[in-house]
Amino acid sequence: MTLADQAAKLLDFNQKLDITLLDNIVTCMYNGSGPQQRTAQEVLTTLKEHPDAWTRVDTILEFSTNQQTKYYALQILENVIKTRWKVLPRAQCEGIKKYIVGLIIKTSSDAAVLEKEKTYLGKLNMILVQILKYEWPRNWPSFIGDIVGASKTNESLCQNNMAILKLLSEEVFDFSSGQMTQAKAKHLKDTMCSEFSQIFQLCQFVMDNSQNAPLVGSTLETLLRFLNWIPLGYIFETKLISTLIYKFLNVPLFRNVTMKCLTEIAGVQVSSIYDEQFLQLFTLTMNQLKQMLPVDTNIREAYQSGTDDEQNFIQNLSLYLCTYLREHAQLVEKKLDLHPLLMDSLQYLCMISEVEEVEIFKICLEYWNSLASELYRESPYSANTSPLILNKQHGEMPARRQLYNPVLSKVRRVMISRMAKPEEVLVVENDQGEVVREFMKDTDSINLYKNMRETLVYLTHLDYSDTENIMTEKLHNQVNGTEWSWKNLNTLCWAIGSISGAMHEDDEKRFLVTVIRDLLGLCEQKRGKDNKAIIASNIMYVVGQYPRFLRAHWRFLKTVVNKLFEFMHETHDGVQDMACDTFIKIAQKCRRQFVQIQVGEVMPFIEDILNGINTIICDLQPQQVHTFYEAVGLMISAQTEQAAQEHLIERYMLLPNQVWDGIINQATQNVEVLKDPDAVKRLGNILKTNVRACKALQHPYVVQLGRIYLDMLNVYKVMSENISSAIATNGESVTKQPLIRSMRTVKKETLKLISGWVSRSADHQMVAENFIPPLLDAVLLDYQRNVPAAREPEVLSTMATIVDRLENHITKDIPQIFDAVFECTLTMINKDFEEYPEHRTNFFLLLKAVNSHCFQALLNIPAAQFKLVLDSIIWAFKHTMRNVADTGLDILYVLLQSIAKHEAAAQSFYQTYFTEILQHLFSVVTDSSHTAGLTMQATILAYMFSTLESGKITIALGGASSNSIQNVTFVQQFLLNLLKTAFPHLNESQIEIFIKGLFSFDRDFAAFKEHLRDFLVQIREFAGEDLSDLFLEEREGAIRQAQDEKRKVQLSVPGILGPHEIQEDMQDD
Amino acid sequence: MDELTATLASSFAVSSDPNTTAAEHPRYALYKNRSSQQTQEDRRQKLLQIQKSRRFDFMSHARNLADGSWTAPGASEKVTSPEDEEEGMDVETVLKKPSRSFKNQLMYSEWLVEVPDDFGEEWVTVLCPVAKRCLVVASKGNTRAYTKGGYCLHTFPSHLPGGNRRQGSKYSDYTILDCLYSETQGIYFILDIMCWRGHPVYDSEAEFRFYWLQSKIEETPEVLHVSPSNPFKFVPLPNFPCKKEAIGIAMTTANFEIDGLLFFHKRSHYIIGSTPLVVWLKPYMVPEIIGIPIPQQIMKKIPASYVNYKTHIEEVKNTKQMNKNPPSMRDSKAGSNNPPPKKERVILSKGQKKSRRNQQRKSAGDSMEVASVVQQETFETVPTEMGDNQNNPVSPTQ
Repeated sequence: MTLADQAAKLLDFNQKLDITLLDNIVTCMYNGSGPQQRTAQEVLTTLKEHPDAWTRVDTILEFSTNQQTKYYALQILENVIKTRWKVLPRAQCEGIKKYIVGLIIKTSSDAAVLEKEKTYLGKLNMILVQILKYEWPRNWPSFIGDIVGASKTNESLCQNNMAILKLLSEEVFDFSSGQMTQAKAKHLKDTMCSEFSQIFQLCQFVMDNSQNAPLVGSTLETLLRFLNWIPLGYIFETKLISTLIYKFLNVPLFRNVTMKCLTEIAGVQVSSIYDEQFLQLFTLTMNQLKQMLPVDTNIREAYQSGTDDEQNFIQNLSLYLCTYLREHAQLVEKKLDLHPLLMDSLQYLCMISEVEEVEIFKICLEYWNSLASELYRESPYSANTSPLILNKQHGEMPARRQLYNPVLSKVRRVMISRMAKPEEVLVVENDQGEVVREFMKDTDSINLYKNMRETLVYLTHLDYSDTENIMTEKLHNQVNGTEWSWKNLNTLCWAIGSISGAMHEDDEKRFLVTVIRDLLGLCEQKRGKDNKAIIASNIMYVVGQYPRFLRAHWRFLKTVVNKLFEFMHETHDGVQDMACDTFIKIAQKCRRQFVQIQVGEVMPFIEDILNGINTIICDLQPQQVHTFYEAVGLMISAQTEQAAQEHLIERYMLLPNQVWDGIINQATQNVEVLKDPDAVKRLGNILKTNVRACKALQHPYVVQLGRIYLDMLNVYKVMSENISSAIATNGESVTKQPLIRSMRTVKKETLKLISGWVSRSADHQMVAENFIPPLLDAVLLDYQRNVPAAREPEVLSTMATIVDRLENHITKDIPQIFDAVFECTLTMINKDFEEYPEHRTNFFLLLKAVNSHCFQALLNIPAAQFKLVLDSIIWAFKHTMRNVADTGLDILYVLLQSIAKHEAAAQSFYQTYFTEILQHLFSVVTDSSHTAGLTMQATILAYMFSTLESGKITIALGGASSNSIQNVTFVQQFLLNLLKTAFPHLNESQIEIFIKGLFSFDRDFAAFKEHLRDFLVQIREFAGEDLSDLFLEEREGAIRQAQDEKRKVQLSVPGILGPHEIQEDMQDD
Repeated sequence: MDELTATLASSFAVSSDPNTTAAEHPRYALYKNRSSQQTQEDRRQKLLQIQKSRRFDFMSHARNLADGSWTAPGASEKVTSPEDEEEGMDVETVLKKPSRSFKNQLMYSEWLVEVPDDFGEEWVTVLCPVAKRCLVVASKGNTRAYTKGGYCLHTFPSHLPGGNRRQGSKYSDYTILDCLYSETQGIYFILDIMCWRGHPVYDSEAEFRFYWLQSKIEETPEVLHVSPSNPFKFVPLPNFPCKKEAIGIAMTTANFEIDGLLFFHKRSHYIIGSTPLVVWLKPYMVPEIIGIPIPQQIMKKIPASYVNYKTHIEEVKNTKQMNKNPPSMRDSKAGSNNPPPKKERVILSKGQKKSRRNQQRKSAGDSMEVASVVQQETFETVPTEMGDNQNNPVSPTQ
């Protein structure tokens, strides 16, 4: 019998279920391989999805001998409960419920079985909780009483009941959002709180009396889940705290879960009524801890050699201490007699901060950061700075700071000794097959660096001389060899670079001079290029971090730059990259210095650079040359006098222009030159140089752009024709050839250059009149005529950039742009949601730009084309590619708002499209793959309903036979039909209430969205899909908002933002 | 602060090649390198000695370059990175082994610091156009140009032996050249030759190599012309005797923008890396350092910041003064604060220099002492290199 036959047999619900056969298939699925396993999987999936599958569950559970088969049966059951519980006959529900309860009691009553069938039982528990979510308390009011009562009969039963209570608590309090409607969640929470005393008594009883370790353990785990929601009286007005500390904290088996419970308690935020209890919590815990873990233990070593359990304990301890101190340290500070204990706790944290586990370090770091910033904000001056304060006695340092001072020094040492890497460079190959270096922006390590730097800056503000001493001492240890290693040196130099701006300028100067002198000495002292190269890049890193110092010392700055030029000839690995990166970093922050005549000089240094540019860059690779050009461009951008600047630009671009002219001249005589791989490659490089120059020079780059503009567009056309004919002759695979790739690079860089410049240009009129017409002539027709594979998506993004920048100055050209790109791109992307992803994204970006800035142009296009536009917008928001869907919704919203302002157009628009748009919007709202866009979907719906309700739609939507007064009723009816057809499992009154709500909430956006969300939960009770991502975007938003707030605060403290994060206009003074 | 700048400028480096042309000419540098070094001339003599007894398998080295592979068993050298060997030998004069990649395969010059006694007889000069130095390897039907760092700049066909697919039977040929690539003109100027048609000439003397280069190109004139299978011209650079007239004429008649002058010791082998047997000057340094006048149109291109040695020394002194004074006084009293230079420094003509040199040679022991005395007196203003002392006519002993 083949597997397929077997499957047919299993799926025939008229036959008796063949348990052996099912067991075989399950075994095959878990232990088989290849096609057999795949078939087995298919059979099981089909069976699971069968609507009557659940009727077989009891048979399977009873007769199967295979644990995996039983587990499979439970999955079927869980599925039916989650999605179809409400449609099952009540008797069936009762039956399932009783059956599961019985099974649980049977399995959990015997300690040995309970241990053996742990996973199976876990699944049973989960199913029971799923049932409870429907049944409790309405159909099963006595549940809590039942379970507490049953627990008293048998210890192992009690242990499992604890697990059930824990699961229930998690389902109701931790994971309820998006899983149940708001109303239901609230109801369950209230019930649980009101019946909690029974549960608490049970827990207490177990903790006080039981000698059964697994039972106690599971009770503590359950208690841990309760602690974040139970009424506070249970925590603070019982002997819970002291029981936890005295009875369980020092028992190795329970210390981790106990520590977690104590952390939960420490994190409770409440007004001062429980101060006494919090102090007691601290005293008791600390005293107990000191016996378990002597304060002078070397925790770093202990951690390294510790077991998993011990390592977890260290982590839990750090969490407890940080939580407690952050919330309640001020209480402890007020009690003089507790200061020794406070010091002990800080000592623990210092020791834990040295543990070489980054996750633990992050926990400590968060606390140190909040402590340091708090102390600084309390009185923002350093212990040893401003002359005004010098007059005061040292004793007048704020009391809190005095208290913490000894600890802060240790923390400084920790920060300096393990400063994270400030920047990460990734070497990757791009689409054109070129190896490029990318600076990573948002990695874990960089975020760690930012937090550490912020902390160290605060600590430096609190006592800069201590920071300085530690750094100097550690630097000496590099020089005398006791701490010498590449890693240590890097770490130290990142730390030194991190506090740029935190000291007073004079102190900073003195400090830097010492640092650089020592590093130079170290470089001279060490042998071998590897060593010297590492030290050299560290010196340059430190120097680059202190632009204020460089700006104040021209001769030094000049020497640094000359040294960088020297390093640009050094072939040792990485030195040239380092030199170019440092050069541009310095150029960004000290650009003005290079175009001014400095004291003791006859001319600005930029002249020297331009004179020697050939020699300086002769050993660099193209990429490095591009960086170099951007850096020099930045310097030239600081020349504010136009004529002088133009002169500089001319000399700056001399070399690339000579090469460019050479190739262009050759091509004028024989266009075949533009097929020569080497020539194409050189053109690509020159264009990249231009892109970087443009980026640096901004609008003034126009003089150079004008020089090469027309030739460049001609080259573009030739390249494009070459690619097209190559594809026509050899098929699409030819695009992977190096020559074709370089030709595409030329095209792409051309577009990048133009859009880059337009987006930085300052004179819209001039751009629109002089630069746009030839561009459109060259690029648009070419795009339209090309085979799809040869169309550059950058054409669309360039057009979008132009529209965004030039706004209404380009409105007259929109028809031409649309004629060329609209239909031909649409046919590339309307077959599916995936092909040509870049064209897709850029196409909609263009549409968005036109819609926002040239709406008049959209109004003027013929109706047929307008329909195409609207169809594409709808097509856009149906994408699962999130960026495209978001763009689509944005466009639609703006479109609706814009059209409302054009009365005549608006009415015919509503008549044709209003209900159509509604229909499509509801199809995405109710589609689980679009939950990410819910906010915007809700916004648009709310807007549409309020438009409708406020009578702005004067045309009759229901057609000629109706009138506009009936519009609301018409739409309501329309929606009712729509939703009824789409979700037949919902009943009509449910839908009616939903539709009513849509209108009543359309002025209160938050409520409107919650209302939608509740409806989504309702439709999914049947559809049975994972809803855990429904609140995702709020969470993202909250994080972002918190960050913005933070940044505002940061800006007020000098040095908290690094020199390279601050906006340019605040610099260079 | 000034001391810090001086240290940064002078002794901060990754590679420690003496008189490297990547940095300023030591004579004009504002900050002198204070580490003691052997004179250029001493190192030259030593190198000429060492190269005679050197045994290195340049045949397989050239083949490795042609194959672009260093794993072949034919490579007789043991696998040690040149970096290791260099360890601890910074001060010693040694012949380094070439690296086992395309990186650092060229012979690099030092600045001409001291004019050698045998300059007129034992040296030849080559005028270099403004261009990019690169290693050209023609093999297996392709020609490739590599930068100093080993980055492959271009790949193209050429008529160099081995550089073109259409060469058919001679497919196994290969050629290695030291070139200057002018991006603007699209010309490869051939500076030196290391291997022609599979015959390495690394351990031949410069004089022979130059002759060999000229005659090989005469045999292969098609490399001089642009054609589809030779898109770039390969033009050998002419060499001249180190005589006043010859150099003068060469500079006036050069048909390209002169970047600088290279001087080759006739007996020098092709030594990979930086060597004092090839030295370099910028055109505008020529009159002052080797006493040959150069055409006016070239002198016009002197960078405005460039000053002759005398002015330069004064400037160094002024800088020092300025740095001693607080910045606020700098503007108002700069002039009066500078005492007139105590010692007049005159640049010697070549004849004078020679006699002075002989004088100093006799009392080599004294001159060391002198140097240290001078150093104490005018810290940083007096170069410590022996060659510079010889140019300093008014040292305290006189």
